[in-house]
Amino acid sequence: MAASSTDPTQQLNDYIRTMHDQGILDDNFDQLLALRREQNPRFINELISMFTNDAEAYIAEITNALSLTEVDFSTIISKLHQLKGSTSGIGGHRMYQACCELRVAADDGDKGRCDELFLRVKEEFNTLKQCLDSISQMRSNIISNGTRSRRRRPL
Amino acid sequence: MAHTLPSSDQSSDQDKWDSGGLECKGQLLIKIVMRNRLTALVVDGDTTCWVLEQELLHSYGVQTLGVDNSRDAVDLIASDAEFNLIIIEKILPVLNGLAVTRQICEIGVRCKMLEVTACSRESERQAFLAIGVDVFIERPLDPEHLVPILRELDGQ
Repeated sequence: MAASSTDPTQQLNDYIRTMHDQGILDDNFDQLLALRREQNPRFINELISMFTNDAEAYIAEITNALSLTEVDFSTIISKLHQLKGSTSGIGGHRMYQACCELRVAADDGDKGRCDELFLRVKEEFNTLKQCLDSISQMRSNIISNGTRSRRRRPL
Repeated sequence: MAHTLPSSDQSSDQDKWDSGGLECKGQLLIKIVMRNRLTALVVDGDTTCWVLEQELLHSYGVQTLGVDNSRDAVDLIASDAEFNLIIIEKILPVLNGLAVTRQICEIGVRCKMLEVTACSRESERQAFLAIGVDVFIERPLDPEHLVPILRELDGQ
């Protein structure tokens, strides 16, 4: 007998499983979920927000470095390294792979391939961001439902 | 090595979540009992990685301090702050990870040093190991690599 589809935790489980199946998330995401934070139930949401902000900043810096007349490959490589690091921490599997491919092109100093592969990195980031935002939202709903039920007082 | 899953609780969605009602692949947080209070320094310029590493260490009862650049790391070590474990990322603001690791080793620090980084070449790995890093790990830092090191530091 399948669990009720209106159960928010089950919905979240199902969503995360789908993201795994599509290769958007990997086991590293499960690992960070396993870091329970009883004192701060919003930890996962805060981390997602931190990752997204940092990733956007790295992407902006790479965009800038690629747009220069003389492409700054060394900045691209160092920002990409940090982007890869945080992406692997959050469990963004497809985005991580796209970063690895871009790294090879940057090492080769191939601007054309860099432009093409960077486009893919940005697409995968948008996909990952949407996925993480959905998870954050579902998680917020679970938290606020939990708070509401604890606040219920007898008349 | 004892592996346990977090226990399940049926009282509310949030409780279910917090108690591990979420499906996890395999057993992700290896449980160990630490006899001593260990201390660690995390040196990483990226916020997400830094937070994750500190959280993982906290979950094993390790008291951690984090810095996000090489200069602060070297200043801290040079001021005789003592740590059981230092975790360093390869690419850092100010000095790169290799240079700061070398400086820390030259100060004469005698503790476990872990290099954690995303995707490295064998030559880089060898360079770090040659200057005194004990363990070189590909990101992200996980219990499978961390737990044996913590046990060793704890004298288990």
